[in-house]
Amino acid sequence: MGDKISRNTFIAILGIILVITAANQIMNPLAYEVVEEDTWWYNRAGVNFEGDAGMRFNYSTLGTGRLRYEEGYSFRVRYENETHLPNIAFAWDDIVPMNMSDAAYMSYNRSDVEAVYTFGDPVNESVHEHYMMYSEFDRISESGNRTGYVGYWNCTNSARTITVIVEHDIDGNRTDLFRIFNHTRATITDHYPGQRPRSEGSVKLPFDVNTLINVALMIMLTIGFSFTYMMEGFPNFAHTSYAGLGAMVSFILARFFNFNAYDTWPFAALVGGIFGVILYVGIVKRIRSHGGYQDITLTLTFIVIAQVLPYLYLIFNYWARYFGDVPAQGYYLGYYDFNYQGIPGIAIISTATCILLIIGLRYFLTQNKIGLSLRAVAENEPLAATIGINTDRAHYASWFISGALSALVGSIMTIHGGTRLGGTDDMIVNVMSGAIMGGVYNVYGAIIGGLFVSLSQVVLNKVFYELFGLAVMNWQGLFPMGFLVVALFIFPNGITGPGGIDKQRLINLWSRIKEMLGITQEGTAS
Amino acid sequence: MASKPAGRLQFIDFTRGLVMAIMAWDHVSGFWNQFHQGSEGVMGAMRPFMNTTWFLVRFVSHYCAPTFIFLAGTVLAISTIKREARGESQFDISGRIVIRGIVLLVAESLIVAPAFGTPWAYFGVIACIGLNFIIFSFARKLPNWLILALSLFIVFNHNFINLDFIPNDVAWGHYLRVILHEPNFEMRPWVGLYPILPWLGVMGMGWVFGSIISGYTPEQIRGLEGPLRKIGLASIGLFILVRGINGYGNLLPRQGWSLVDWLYVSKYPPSQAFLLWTLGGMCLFMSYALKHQDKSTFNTGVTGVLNQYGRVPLFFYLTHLWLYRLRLPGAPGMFYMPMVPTLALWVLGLYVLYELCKRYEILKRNHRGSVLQYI
Repeated sequence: MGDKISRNTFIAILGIILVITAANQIMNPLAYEVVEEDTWWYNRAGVNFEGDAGMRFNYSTLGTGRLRYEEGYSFRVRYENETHLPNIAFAWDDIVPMNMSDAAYMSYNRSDVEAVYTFGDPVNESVHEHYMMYSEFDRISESGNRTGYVGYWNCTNSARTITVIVEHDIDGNRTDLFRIFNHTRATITDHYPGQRPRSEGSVKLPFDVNTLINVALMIMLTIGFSFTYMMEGFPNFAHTSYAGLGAMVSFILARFFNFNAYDTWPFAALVGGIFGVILYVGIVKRIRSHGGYQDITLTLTFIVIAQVLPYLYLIFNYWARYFGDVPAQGYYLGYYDFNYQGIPGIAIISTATCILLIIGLRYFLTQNKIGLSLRAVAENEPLAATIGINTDRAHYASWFISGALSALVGSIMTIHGGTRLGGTDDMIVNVMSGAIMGGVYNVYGAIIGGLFVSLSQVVLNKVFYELFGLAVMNWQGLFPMGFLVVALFIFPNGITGPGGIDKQRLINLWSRIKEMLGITQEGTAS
Repeated sequence: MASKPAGRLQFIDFTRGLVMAIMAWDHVSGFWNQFHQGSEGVMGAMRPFMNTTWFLVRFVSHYCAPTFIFLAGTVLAISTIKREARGESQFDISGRIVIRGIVLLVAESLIVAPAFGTPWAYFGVIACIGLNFIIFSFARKLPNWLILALSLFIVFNHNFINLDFIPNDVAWGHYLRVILHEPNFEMRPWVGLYPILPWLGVMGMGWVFGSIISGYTPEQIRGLEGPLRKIGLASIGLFILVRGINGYGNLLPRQGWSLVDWLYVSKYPPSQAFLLWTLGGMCLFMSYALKHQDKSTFNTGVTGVLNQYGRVPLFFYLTHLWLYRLRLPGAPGMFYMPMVPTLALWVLGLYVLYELCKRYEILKRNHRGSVLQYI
């Protein structure tokens, strides 16, 4: 080896090979043929049925942990790492099978009319509000004898009938098959079941109930945010991320332990509160003990926490999917809700909860010893310490309340529309706007700010929609920013803060506007 | 005075390091991104990509396997010639190549396949290189012109190979077809994506390139910059021609005029269009490295990091898979992240890998005769 190749040799070799290739192409058909698949593949996040055009549905190849999606009428999937290569088929159809035999026949793509089926006793049960019937079966056919489980149910969300079948050759392990069947039907029935049908009640509210709920949520969040700011002096950017924690707790209790979603609220609040205290002890207190630019460090640290928390929820989500057959892309427990005279229960309960909390907080801050100490520490911590107030306890209390309120909001949100993973993070700008507008140095300001921001957002949405059309909705995220700017301009210390509305600034602004418009003293344009 | 032959060829280290960093992205994305897809070729015309972005983040990794395999042939030729020059016996040289090939086959089965979650018999790129090494332990005796002719013949004509005479419904026959020419995942555990035949051609071309440049002086090596750039550009030009004509050379015909239509080529097995694009790119990478390798900054910063990866490629390969596939305890599968955090994880992993590669290189240097020489 090691012999060199001259340029001419190289060209000669290349030329000969190209001639051979051309000759090959003329004389031989290609051994490779591209096989076009009948189905069109697409990928979408989430395990849920979508009732829009094309009857989209999806399946999860459970063995590999990957999700795949197909569009079609009926299809079959082979489990790659099952010894007996069981097949699974789903059919999503407008036609309701008349019986098990019909369901099995449909699932086999209506092929082989000669096949003979033998069924076990049918089992009736309800999975996530889907009343299903299933049975084991044997199929004798010239193409091979098979055994498996077949079941069908009416999907309450899509108003279609779904058939699922899991089968393999007759010698396979039936217990294994049932496990897969069970897993599969749990997976595909775990799409969002949708709201319960609303009763046509006689009570017509003069406002949108969603606004009512959003106001309640915003007030609770701004109160919590203000608590942290009052006590620690830095904005907690992770505040709304705790809401995801509350949502997660509610989801776990409801889906794995069969709690009613409303019953999970105290637990969610407790976990959120404890989490807040842990953050205080583990992070805030430690950073405070080091000196330096603590507020900046803490702010940045909590921005990081806000980024990290959603991934912790993702880890839970992942476990939920594998170990609990619950593919949680978000947390939705809306089907636990009730309605009274056409009003969603969550609107009534969340509003009542918010009002009770405000009353309770007022009592706590004005009458309770810990509440009073909390206010004292917020005003002047060194002074509070010198008069014998346990400042640590005050901090614990504030972080507990702040965490509990945020988690409670998350818990409420699972019933009201659901939360997607990390979705609560988006609310931080609104919450900050509300808190700053109301005045971050007291809780009442937070209440006013939260109320103002959430109501204004609704009103502005409607006004801008009327003025500019649907496209303006793309910009609604800017509204809270607008509030922030206005708030800082007109109420530098918040509505309830020192000085309240800055009248002089307003007067100056008005003068400048008049100047720009050329309006004279007498009110006529010059 | 005649110049001494060039020492360590940095442009090879750089190119190898660069494609390995890109490959690491492909794998980290495969482990953590739900929408990351692959299998171009074995899936037929069906495109699994959600959008152009996800397509491109996968497409960019196409450079990896061809560059790996080509440069494996190059480095094998260079090291073989060095050993011959040192007077080592032909038996020892062949034996060493065979052992290296076996190490790669074992590594594929015991380390790589579990990392990818594939069966132990998975025939991937490492196994493909391993088996091709074993073939080259004998084929190296052939004259270079013949190796070049056979390699080009394979690369241009492997699409015509018809293995129907080998039974496909029995395990041995199926696996043989997978190993030789027909990548697929149909009969577990006898699965694979890198059949040796097309890749043997690529490695053969690398071998010829290596044996040509093995005696080059540093000046001659530097002089390769222009030719490599021209070859690279010509190759990419030919890719455009082949995709444009949309006839032979496209295992996956172009279905339209969009960017994805143009670039969606068969990797499993590699079509001519695929190899033109990727090997053309590889030539450009090498040309770039040759242009800049004399600068004082070439061994620092990002290029320094890439050079480091390129000096211990197999260690990098085996390590990066397990580093990036870190799973939760007891977890049977995976959960997913968006693209941006995955990119952050990739960068973080590259830093960790850099530190590991640095230490491994020192370790390897301090234990020259040990088993580490094969990794």
